[in-house]
Amino acid sequence: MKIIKCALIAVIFSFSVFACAEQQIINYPPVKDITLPNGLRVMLIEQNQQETISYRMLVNAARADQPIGREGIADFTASMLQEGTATRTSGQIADDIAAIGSGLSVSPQPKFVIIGMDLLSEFSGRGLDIFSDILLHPSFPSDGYNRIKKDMLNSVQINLTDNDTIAFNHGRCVLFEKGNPLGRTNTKKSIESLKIKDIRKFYETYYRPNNSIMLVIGNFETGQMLQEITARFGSWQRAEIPARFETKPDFHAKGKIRVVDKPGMTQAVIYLNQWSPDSTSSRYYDYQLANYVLGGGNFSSRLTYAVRSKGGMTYHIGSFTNIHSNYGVLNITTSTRNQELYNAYKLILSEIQNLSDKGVSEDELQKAQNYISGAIPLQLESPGQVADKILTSIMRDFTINDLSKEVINYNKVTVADVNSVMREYLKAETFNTVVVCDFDKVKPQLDQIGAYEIVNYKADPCK
Amino acid sequence: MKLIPKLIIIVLLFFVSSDFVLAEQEKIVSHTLNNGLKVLILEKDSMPVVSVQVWYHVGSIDEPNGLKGIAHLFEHMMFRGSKNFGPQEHFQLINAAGGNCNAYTSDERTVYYERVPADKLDLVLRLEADRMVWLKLDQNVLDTERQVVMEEYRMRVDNDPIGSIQRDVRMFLFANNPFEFGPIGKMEDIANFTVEDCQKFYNTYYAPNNATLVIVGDVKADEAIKMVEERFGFITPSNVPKRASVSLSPEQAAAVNKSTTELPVPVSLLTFYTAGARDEDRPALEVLLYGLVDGKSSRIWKTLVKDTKLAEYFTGEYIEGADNGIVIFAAAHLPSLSKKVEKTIWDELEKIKKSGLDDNEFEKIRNQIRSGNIFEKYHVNQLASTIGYSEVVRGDYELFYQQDKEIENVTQEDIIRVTNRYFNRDNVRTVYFEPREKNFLASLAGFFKSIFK
Repeated sequence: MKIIKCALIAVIFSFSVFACAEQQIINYPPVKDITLPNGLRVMLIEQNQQETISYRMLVNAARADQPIGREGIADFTASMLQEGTATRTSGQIADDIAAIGSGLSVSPQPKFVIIGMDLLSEFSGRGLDIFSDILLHPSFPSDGYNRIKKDMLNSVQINLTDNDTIAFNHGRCVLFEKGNPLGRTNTKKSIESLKIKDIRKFYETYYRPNNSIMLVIGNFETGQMLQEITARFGSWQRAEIPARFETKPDFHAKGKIRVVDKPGMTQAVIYLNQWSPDSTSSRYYDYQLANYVLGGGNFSSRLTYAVRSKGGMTYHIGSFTNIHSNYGVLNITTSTRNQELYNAYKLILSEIQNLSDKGVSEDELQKAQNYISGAIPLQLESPGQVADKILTSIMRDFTINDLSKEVINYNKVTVADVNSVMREYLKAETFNTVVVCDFDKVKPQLDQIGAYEIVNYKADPCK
Repeated sequence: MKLIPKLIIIVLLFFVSSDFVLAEQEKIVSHTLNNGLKVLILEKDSMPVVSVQVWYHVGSIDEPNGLKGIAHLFEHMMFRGSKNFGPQEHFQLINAAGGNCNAYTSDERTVYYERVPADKLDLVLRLEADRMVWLKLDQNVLDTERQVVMEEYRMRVDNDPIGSIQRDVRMFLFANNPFEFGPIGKMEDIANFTVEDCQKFYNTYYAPNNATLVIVGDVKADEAIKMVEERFGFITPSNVPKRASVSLSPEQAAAVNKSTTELPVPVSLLTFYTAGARDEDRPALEVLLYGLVDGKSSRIWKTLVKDTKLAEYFTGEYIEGADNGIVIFAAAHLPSLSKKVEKTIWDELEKIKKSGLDDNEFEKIRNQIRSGNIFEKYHVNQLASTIGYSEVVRGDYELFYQQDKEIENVTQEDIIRVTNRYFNRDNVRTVYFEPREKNFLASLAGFFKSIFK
């Protein structure tokens, strides 16, 4: 049994009383959590000792909602919010936001988008005016539409110069089942097909109060802020939200190998993925710790030790997870000089197999737990980080109570837990592999890897 | 099996809140050890976290010919073991304490940084002191790390179009100058570094009198100084050569330079030379650049991308050293439009030379900078970086306190003077990048735009 000593509580906090418990609780600040009659969930975190305020609006309108052939419409819609409203041109929006020393952030995720503004609290009213205006009254003007469309078409081309992005786009398409919007990538054809009426329709369908969460953190008075939010967002009309394509991970599907030919490369990019437990799984914490040991722990991980520190085959190798409430993906990525492609690939697989077969040591697990125990609070330095952590966790079906017990839950995990989760999920044969490379230069090595399909890097990954 | 004691978390209850903002009375404590190590400490108890940064006053401009890239390779070697810690143990111990660490190399400095729970300060100091004095260098480790650095070169330069552009720009603008290759160095030099080269570099530059130690976080300055004295006080100083004065000027480069790129459209760069971070015009230049190139409310972006639609993308970057700097205006545009793009930029600069910025722009820029400074203070790493930058690059840590005031004091006359000083035809060099793969439709569109716009 692990005994954690409660040695000292030395932090002076401006409000709250602490009890020293033999637990590692992360005490999140109190949240006023209410839902307006139109369905908009509002979370208010008042912290008056600060000089700043952060607004966030999470909308469930993302890649997961894009019809086949209309890839890009979610990002297009989010970008159009800044291009004009009923009362502001795009230039006025940019000037008004800059005038209060702020900026608008748009963070698209596979299943939602978070629109945010961080600003000095002396400008909170002006900030909320702009924030609500762009969210509720976008005008979708043609000049903004043309500019965003041009940007997105350029991005499609520029992404073809980024080898990691190429690998990732192909990897998604290989992993997700046919017809799943999450597997698909923006293409020239899909962007060109998007008209203003499509963007407007997407907005009207998904940008609804009952499909959104608003979070405000910083220097304000809760009652007054609630009034101001109600005044601005209270008349936002709710609507029925269409059901999404249901992602169904197949944990037993045999992995595929895809080679993406890009002439001229002096390195090959190796990308692997497979399904992992989702955030509602009872194995969530076990799996995250397993990933830390595999490749998530950077220089404390096995992959970095074997492929970089000992092998000298790469500058970077790592694994990371994309975890959602109904599916999860484990990703491994690296790049290596052409002549080491086969050796690096085999070494990665061998590390995976070794970990799955023999498991982790007590020592490795303790280090992983220690890292996570210390790192979680370090990730919450600013109010914006707190806001984003809360919102993304809610989307993974975690409550704030779950968040406060996160460290405890990690520290409950045993070596047996980690080893059994790896045996169950970490199977070398179910990894999909994408290699982006100059095919002619590495063909003999690819032939040793196994049967593969080959596509040109300019091709639509899902065609 | 080596037993790793379970991390005892001293502070069990983290409250995500509290006084994030730096109070005015909080002051940086400066202390210099007898061996010359300068220590700057800022107490900030809003979170039980501490950031530790060691700024070595050595970078790629200190490398002799034949050793281009050794400062950066050395940054890697510093994680490969010292007398009391094994290879990569530095990373592992910091991670096991719940912290993160890394390093970077620039033209003028090499910085190592850690962010850990505050009660782990002594661990970090032990690790940093150990590798300052007892780094282990051997052939096997060097050979492995050499391969890692060469992979980094392939990844960041050979296989990245932006990295390739950066390499070409340096070669055009800084030919035969210590800034020519930058921290990433030269592949042929990296392939030939010896253990003796590394040892000499280490003995010369990794010394307490060639470093600044910055500590920011939930610590008591007097206690931290005691720890630093204990860990670093015994290290002997070395005879560090005075850095030769290096100047960058447009006379060192051709007026017009051309290369190719993997990017799908042409890229035009206008580069202007400045006097760097220690020059008295630095605050005015900062305000001016906010007005010209910062975001979608800036003058050049609005004109070039939004109004005339001559450019697909536009960005302005300022790369600053202590006594030199380069402002780069970079536009990606359709073929045949480079002259129009340049003219549009010059027209905007001429307007500023005539009338300066308007009152709204001044207010906007001041709010942007003030807001940025306040948000920065939530993060101990960023605070430590700004303090280190103020001391090492700008020359005085006290400038950390002057940031807002410096900006407030910038006048219209300053803006006009600085625009005339730097943004003139004698102080510019251009670099053009043409796509290697020609796109007929883009060329056609560019041709028509060049006629009708």
